[in-house]
Amino acid sequence: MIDPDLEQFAEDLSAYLDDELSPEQRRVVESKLLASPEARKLLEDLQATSQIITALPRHPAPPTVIQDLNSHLERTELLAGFDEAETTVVTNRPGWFPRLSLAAMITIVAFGGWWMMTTPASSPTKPRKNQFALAEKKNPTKDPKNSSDRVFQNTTKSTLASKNPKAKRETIDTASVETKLAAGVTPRALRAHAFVNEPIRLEIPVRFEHEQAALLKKLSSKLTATSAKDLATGDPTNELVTGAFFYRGRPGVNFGNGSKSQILVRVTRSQLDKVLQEVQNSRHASSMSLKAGALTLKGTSKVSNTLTMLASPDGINEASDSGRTDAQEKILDDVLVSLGVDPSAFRQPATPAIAPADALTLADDSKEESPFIPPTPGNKVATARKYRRSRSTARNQPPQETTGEVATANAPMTVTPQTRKKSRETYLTFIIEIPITKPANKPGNKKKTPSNRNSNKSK
Amino acid sequence: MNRRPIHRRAEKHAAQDARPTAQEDVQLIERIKSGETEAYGELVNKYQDRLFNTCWRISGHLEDARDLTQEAFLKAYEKLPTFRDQSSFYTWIYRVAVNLALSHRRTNKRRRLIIGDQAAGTQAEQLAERATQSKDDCPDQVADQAELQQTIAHALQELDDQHRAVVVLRDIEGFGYEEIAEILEIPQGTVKSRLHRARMTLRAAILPSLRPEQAQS
Repeated sequence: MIDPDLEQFAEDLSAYLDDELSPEQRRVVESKLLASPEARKLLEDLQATSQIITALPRHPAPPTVIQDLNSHLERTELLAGFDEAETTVVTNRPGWFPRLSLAAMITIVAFGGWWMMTTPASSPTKPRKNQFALAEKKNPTKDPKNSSDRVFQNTTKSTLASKNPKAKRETIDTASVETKLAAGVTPRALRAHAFVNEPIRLEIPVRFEHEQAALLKKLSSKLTATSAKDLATGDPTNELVTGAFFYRGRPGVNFGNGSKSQILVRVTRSQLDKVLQEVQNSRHASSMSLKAGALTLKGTSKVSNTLTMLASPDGINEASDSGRTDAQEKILDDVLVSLGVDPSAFRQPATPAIAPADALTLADDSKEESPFIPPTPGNKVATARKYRRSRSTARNQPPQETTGEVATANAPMTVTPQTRKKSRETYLTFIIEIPITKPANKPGNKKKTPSNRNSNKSK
Repeated sequence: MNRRPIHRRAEKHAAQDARPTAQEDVQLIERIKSGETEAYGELVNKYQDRLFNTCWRISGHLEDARDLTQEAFLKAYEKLPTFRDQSSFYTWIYRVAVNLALSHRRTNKRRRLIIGDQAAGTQAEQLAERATQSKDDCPDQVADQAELQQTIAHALQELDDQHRAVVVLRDIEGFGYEEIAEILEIPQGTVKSRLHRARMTLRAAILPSLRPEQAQS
């Protein structure tokens, strides 16, 4: 217990220890220290305590600090100031493309596949490392030739000084979700990429912002199933989730513009049904359309059926037992071709070793590149698609051992018995867009304005 | 900035405590603003160890400290365009980091504080290593020191957040009262009183070792 008199100036003892007293205060303390052995003991104790604290071991920052900083800034760079116009270019195919005959398309696609097979493989989706010049702890990178330096410089320039449109084109990763997963990118890491290049888009225009928010909320709630995770807010430690997920186009997450009107969806057939049901229950269903490559489909039933068929390549697990009609098959063929997919290959029935419920997911079973890479402006024929199937694509032929891939749009399967794992449903990846569109004023429907009302009154 | 000389510094920290000059940081920031982004890497390298250690001692958890350090640098990067020279970058980044650590601590009160346990192994290993290497030090003294440090480390985590922050900034990081006041945005008088109360609490935790005769009586 401290002497009450001592306690009064005890605070000054600590400050005296730290040399934080004025000269006058220091003199007062020193005179008291001379007069009081107890004060001297207390000072010694405080000094010893402080020294023990000072001597506590220090822990150096782990190297992951700067590595994670690099990753985050890389993500920021990928998404910062992303120009939406650039993304639309990819999905707007040249006008002549849709007018090619189906046979011509298949021929071109097949040629493209052969060409891809014979050219050295590239890795467009290979994840980049060390994009930024943030120096590692002991090995600072100052090589001006290092692309990471330029990327980081461009980031800073765009955010602090000026924008560099050229840098945006260099850094934007426009691969599709499936391409990335096939390349081994984990779902969590997908947050670093801008998936604005998904070839399938379900557009549901609304008139007002509150309608947009309401519909987004409803769809999100349907997608938030036990097996669905929002990458933006999901468990950051679970990098092994390759199941169904969705994530919204929020700023800094996965869309360059941070569009609030978009949801990137990767769902199983059953979850797709929930989404479609919710859309159909809303009053916006009649205006929805499906964009698949350069093709646009309108009409609630047509859109729903097409999406359902895309999610069920083998035709199994469809609710309707009556099967698909010829018209539906024709639509599906057109959509697949527009997406750069061989329709017959898409419909290849599963091998006997793969039960209907054992359909595979690309993410689970293949580390190979996705067969479907959305077309780029320079790739009018979508020749990036790969067909490595060695077996016949005829519908009823017996299955063969193969390592080929069914180059479907968004539910590719790798039929590789030796690597096949447990069964899972296939997934369909697409973007749901809910733009706000104001209806055009029809002639004669003059909008009432104050001046109009006044003129009417005056009459 | 008019800095008062600081008396006590453990010799082992002398090299680390070579205080970076504010002018160097100003130059680095100017370079960053002009587009020379490698300079931010230099800033990160310069302060990450100190910042990490501070976040560790305040939050009480190594993993959290890593995240907090990263978050502090990210925040600083985002706010860099608006950074003015009213305060040094050093104290500014510390303010960001300490606020994050305190805020994190408040939202994770349920978590048991295991920094003492984390440190114990490290301390024991380090001290054991030193004991075997040093011919002058008595192994018993080394072990006592390790035990004292472990006790202090535990007691540090038991302190109130505000008091712990002051102790960490003063006794571990070596900031002056004025700098601590700037970092924590409190008056210097508050710094002084909190620091003293914290030291008295920590002193009580190790008093049996400091004053065995008092403990026995």
